[in-house]
Amino acid sequence: MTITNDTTRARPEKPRFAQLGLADMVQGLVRWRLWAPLAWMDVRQRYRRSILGPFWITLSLGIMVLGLGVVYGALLHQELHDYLPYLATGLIVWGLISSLLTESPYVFIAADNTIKQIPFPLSTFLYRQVVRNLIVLAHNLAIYLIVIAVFGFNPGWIVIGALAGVVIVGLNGAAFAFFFGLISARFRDIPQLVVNANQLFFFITPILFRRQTMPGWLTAYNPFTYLLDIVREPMLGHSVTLFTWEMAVAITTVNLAVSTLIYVRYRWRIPYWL
Amino acid sequence: MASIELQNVFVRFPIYQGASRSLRYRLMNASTGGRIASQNHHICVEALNNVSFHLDHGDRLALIGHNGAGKTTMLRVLAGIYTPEAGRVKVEGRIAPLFDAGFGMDPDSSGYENIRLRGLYLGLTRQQIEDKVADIVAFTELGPFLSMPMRTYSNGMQTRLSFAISTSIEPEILLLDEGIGTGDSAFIEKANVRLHKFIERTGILVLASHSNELVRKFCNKALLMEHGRMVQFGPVEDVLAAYER
Repeated sequence: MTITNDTTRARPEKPRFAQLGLADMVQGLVRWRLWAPLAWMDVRQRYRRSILGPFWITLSLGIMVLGLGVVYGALLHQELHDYLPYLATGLIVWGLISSLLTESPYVFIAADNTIKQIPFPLSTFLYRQVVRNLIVLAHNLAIYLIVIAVFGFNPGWIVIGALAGVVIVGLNGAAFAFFFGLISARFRDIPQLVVNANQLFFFITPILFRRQTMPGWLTAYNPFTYLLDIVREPMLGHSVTLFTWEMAVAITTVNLAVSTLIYVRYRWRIPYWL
Repeated sequence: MASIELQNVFVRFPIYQGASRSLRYRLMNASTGGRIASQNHHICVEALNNVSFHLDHGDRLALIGHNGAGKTTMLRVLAGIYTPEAGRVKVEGRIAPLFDAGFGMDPDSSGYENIRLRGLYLGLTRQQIEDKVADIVAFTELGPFLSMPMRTYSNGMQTRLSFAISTSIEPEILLLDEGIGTGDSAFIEKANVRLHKFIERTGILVLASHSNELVRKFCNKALLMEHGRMVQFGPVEDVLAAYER
């Protein structure tokens, strides 16, 4: 191979690459028979040969709810029967959002071996990641049921609305993965950046505290406030305000549009970067 | 009918090392304004440089050349893994790359589960996979072990299984990177017979190899490459003569 100082880089025609990227997004989605079992396999593998298996996910969230609940309940002078359900549902939903976010940079990096072995819609790995995190969410719902039982509250039928919220969060998770998965393959600092951003957002998003106790601007300009609320509010038996829905839909639209544009344009480059 | 057509194909790998791969480099570069003359001065490796050829049904092409001549890159371009930066690749026919027989196997799943998983990776439907299971099981001779997690298999047993699955498909175009391992000596003969049949079934074969013996046995055409360029393309004996000279 010749090492050259590349000054005469041939500019490839754009449309062909865009077509390839778009086809990749769709063809990956069609292969649910592959990504669904792979997602199950991921969850199983992480906890293989442990007695509790995937219910370690549930247990560790339960411990976190109890620990944070007691400390912050006292710190913020909250009644536990009021605060614990709020905290538990917040942590369940945040668990989904934050793992979708922090795992997103690795969707292609982690699959580099397979990507170089066989031609494949790369988006398959991305849908696998989203589904894996939805499976984890399902395990965490056990905590929700325990909280309902212990504190004896009834959210009512409105709880079904949370499903729509989960779909919105899942779409955002896919968008994160298209965007961060791609740029992380090229710039290897991005995964660290995402981890740190995730940590920051955990503290400035109303999970531990209530929205009205903080200056309005802090939560109003934080997109995660809305993504969290559209799932958490129905779980607590409250209706979601129209404004929150509008914001959530707007955020999702922008997120999907930007990530699709970037992915479609640069998808062909991913195997070169790995 | 399977066919492959390459026209003026270029593949260049940008080299990102250490800092240059990171965002810091980009940001610092921007903030110090023009300290580095031009951002387009990437260091690149030319893996394929203006490659054109045509293959028809029945062609068996050997890719020969020294290490780093571009053989593996060529296979990956044909497989559709790398999209060339410039040039046209037109492939007609179902393609099967067989570079590493062991990829995509899950050690915690049973042999049967791995057969299905791998089949899905290869793009087969459920029904197509079920139709092949019996043949694969018979060939591996692993019997009851196939119900146990693959983690419990010896290396040889794992190779048997992945080899059997990989060679159970019927591709129209087969891309082979040389020497897919075939396990213990008692098994080698059986594996060779299967491999030969497998190769004979396919419409077009492209084989990257350093073994002239293997090349003579399987191929009728050869492409000699050097530094990503085509040196010679033609009947296998002519090209090998040039290579050995």
